[in-house]
Amino acid sequence: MRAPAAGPIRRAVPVRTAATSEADAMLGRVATGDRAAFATLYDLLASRVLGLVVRVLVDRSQSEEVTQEVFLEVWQNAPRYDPARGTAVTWVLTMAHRRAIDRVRAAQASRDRDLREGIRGLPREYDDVAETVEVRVESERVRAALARLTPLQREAVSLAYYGGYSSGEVAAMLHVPVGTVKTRLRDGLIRLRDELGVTA
Amino acid sequence: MMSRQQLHHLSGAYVLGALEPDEVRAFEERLPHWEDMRAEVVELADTAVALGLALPPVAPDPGVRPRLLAAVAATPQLPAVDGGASSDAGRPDSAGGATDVASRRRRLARRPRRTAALGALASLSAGALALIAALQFGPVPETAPLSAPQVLAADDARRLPLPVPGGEGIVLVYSEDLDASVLQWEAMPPVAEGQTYQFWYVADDARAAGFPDASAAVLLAGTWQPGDRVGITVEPTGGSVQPTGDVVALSEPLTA
Repeated sequence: MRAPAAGPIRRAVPVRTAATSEADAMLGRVATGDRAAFATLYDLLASRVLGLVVRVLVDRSQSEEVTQEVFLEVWQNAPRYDPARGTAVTWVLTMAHRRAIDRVRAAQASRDRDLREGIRGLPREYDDVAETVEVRVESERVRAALARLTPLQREAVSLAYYGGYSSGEVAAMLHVPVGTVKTRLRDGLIRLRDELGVTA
Repeated sequence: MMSRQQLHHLSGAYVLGALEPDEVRAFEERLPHWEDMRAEVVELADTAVALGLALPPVAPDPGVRPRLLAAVAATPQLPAVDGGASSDAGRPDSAGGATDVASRRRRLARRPRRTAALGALASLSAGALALIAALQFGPVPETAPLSAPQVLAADDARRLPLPVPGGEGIVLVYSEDLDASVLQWEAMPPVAEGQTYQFWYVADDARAAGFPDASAAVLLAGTWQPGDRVGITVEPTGGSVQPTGDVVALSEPLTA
């Protein structure tokens, strides 16, 4: 079924910088088989992808593998990317998050991450990073938005997104019914969306 | 059967990848018919990405980039969704619907179901387990461009059928003169959305050799040695650096 033209979709992508615009342009060229553009796209986004994946997976070498898989998937699927539906950054990072979760669930038995690790807040150390003002500003903005959630919303969203835990796992960790977790994930994200200055 | 109201509450968990497989199915079945929920899913997905962008970047090992570029040089891209017959033409919702937000989101969101074990192919070659991506994605030798028709027409071309349940006319054609092989087929059984077939040369290790495309005759990436087999596995979309999924076919060894 083909969707009717949706109403205005509010984009929550936080910063529209030269880098995100360039990523959009590069992905458009990658869709035509341009390998040089792919290399540029990798240079633009690889550290963001690995930053996310390693956050979920913790293990550095597995995270590098997943990063490689994600970019190969980007290459293969680029002809199907529709720029009208979202930025290249959203497309790539969504893929990266799914891949990281797939990997962490596949390796569930061996994972030794615990509650404390799962709910640690946004990292405050930037030692592994060529830190940019942009990242710092964005991080502060998201931290401030997270701070406006209820504690249960914040913990549930953090465990699910940064920890890669399922609703059932989050429920067990927080000692609340799984239905409550699902509800908090939704209202927490909606509140974040609004806090992050969504434009209509 | 969950009510609309119950499903509605799942959007956040869905976007965060925190649902169980049956819940994902129920949610996605309803999504195409539910415009306001599709819009919500898009917005919440963007919000989740903002959480990701707030993390400190981590630069990958410098070795990843050249390996990836070599892999890309050997990996065909999927055709655009309106391109008629494609490698995923058999997927339930790939026709047309993939151009809308919901479907694209569902495609992104679909979690490939990896088998926990690496499967028969990997256990057949224990070395594959130990291999790191670096070996799989070793540099592709620079050779004159070769095409599938050349291999099919080679004087020394030999044919090796690969029986695949539900498939038809799946044959490996290989040429020693050209040091290359082509996998061709009349029909491959459909794979689930979020999955793809992937081809491998298999010896002590498994070397990624490409993916099906609309041509139904794919020149495998890389070269073969006598004793190599050719395998077909089911992998998550985008492929894997080593076999992880079900083995659907494994040829007899290629002979010189």
